[in-house]
Amino acid sequence: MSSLGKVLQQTILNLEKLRDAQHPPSDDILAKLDKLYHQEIELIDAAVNSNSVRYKIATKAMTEAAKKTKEAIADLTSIEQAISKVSNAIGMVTDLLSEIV
Amino acid sequence: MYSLYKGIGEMKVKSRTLAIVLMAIILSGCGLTSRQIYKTQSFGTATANIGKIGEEEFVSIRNGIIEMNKELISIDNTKTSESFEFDKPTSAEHTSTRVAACKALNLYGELLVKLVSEDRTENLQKVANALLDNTAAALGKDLPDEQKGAIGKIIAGFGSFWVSKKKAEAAKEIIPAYEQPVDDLAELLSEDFSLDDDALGYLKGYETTAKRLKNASMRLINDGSKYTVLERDRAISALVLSERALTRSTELSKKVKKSIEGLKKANKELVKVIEDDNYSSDDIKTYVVQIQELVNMYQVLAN
Repeated sequence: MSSLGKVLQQTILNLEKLRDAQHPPSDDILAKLDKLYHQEIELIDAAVNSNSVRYKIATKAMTEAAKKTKEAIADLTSIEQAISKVSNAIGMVTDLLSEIV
Repeated sequence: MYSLYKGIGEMKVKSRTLAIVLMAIILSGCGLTSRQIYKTQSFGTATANIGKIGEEEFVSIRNGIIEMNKELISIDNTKTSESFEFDKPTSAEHTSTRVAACKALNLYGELLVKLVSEDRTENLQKVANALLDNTAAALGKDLPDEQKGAIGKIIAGFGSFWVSKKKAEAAKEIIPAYEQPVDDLAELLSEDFSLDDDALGYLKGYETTAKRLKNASMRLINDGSKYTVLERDRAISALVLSERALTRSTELSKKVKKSIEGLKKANKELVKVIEDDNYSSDDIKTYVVQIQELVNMYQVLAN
């Protein structure tokens, strides 16, 4: 299983590609990216236990978000579905971080 | 009579020559060869330089993050002071540990140069003590006795020849003993300057902060008519700041990564050269070139 940091980074990169493909980019994607950047900074700052249940749940959700956002780059009609997966993953990471902070 | 004087004169010359040769043998037996001195000096100077750049850069990254977050707050009205820590993830405490790691590398380099130079200053012990303190602070643990012992043996203040002998002996003991701590310090720096996908270090934090600011500025710039000229101007400044930071982080990561790989290889070579003067490799030479490139690039980025 990839680390949470790695799949979070992949989701960010995919979402950035989707943002840059839109003219102008949607507020929703910009807002989601802002949250993901914030969470990445929190992850750098915090000592996260990669063996915890919440970590595994968050990593699984973010892996799914990375996968769906990658698919959306090739098929822009699936953006909605991808954004929904991103929202879910953000929620899981928020749960994980609340455990630490 | 002339031939007798000549004979005595020749004997005196031979005796002097013999004495010089003997002295040279004694010196080379207990000191370092010119090749060992040159390699130690080159490695020491380069390592002191990478330490100095690291010290400056960690503080610079932290200041850069604070600066970008100030811009972010000013252009994004959804952010509030309660929900925001301007220096995250580079708190003063975390930064000081990193500065200690770089200081330790700087001091180690400085110490090596002093040990193989003609320098007779009395602060060798001071440098050695500071090296021990900063290494322990950076690695978060006390060093094993064998490593502390090697450093602790440094004694300054002896008379001429014996100082050189003592310094050479100290170098021969310190370099192998400090191989592991130097590798550990290099590993810490490597993590902090990596931009790999799974990296969670300082430069990654700096890059993410820059991306976040860029993202926020894009919203204002692309929404043209919704915002005033003044607000747009602010957003453009933020975008430029973020783009500069992104370029800086990419360049820095590439150069530092190469330099740290060079440091690790050169560290190994130095140990081998100190133990066996015949050992041959170009790792220290390559490392010196890499650090010089880093120093040059750092000057460009600073301006």
